[in-house]
Amino acid sequence: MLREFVQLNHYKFAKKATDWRDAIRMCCEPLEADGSVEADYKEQIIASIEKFGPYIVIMPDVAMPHCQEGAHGVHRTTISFMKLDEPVSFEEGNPEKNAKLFFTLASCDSDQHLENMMKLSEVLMNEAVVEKLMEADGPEDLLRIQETCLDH
Amino acid sequence: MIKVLVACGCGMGSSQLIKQNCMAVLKKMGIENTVYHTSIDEAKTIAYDYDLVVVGENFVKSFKPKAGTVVLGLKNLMNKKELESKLQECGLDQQQ
Repeated sequence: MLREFVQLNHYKFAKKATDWRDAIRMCCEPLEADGSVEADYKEQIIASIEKFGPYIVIMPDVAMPHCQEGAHGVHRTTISFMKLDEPVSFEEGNPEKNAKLFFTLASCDSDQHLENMMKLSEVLMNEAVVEKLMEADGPEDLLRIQETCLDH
Repeated sequence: MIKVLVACGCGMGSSQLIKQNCMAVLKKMGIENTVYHTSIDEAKTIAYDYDLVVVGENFVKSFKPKAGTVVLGLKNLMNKKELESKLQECGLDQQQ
């Protein structure tokens, strides 16, 4: 999965975001760049977080921004990765809803999406991998983590 | 056999992760199960038909379960230990 992020150019490394909305716009950039999603996808994600709350922060420091399956303007079923050096807050006063790692989902094909989610879950269940991703600085780190921790 | 409903805002992200973990944990606990994942909006209307509802903790208050339906909220969706201990707390492992 980490190798795919590199191969598809689906990654972004940044110092910080001004707020969570800014972070959502940033994490969608790689998906917009290759036409996987259209420009309004990020605004749909923001609207969904405003409606449902910061539930996309699925574990400490890890967010999984997404909108509905088959949302308007989604052309590929894929995932993009982003890492911020400084965590951004999704809920004021609740550091459990901070995020540094972003796995942005886009889906228009449920079978492919399910396969992607199995692979993502393999990454997120691996504490060593998550820990190393928090310290990653570029695509070469993603490849190294893939090789040392995930390739069997 | 217990019927489990898992849900998240849109029904495609976190609910799929919870589903995978639920199936793994229930299997480990030796509890036969069937798990359906969906969006919160749909889940609210069908929850009465399930034994167990598992969601992220901020969604727990969306449900007003009838007797017989247990609603569990998770802090860390990827932590199988949290899920297992919450399942044990609510006594589901006794209900075979």
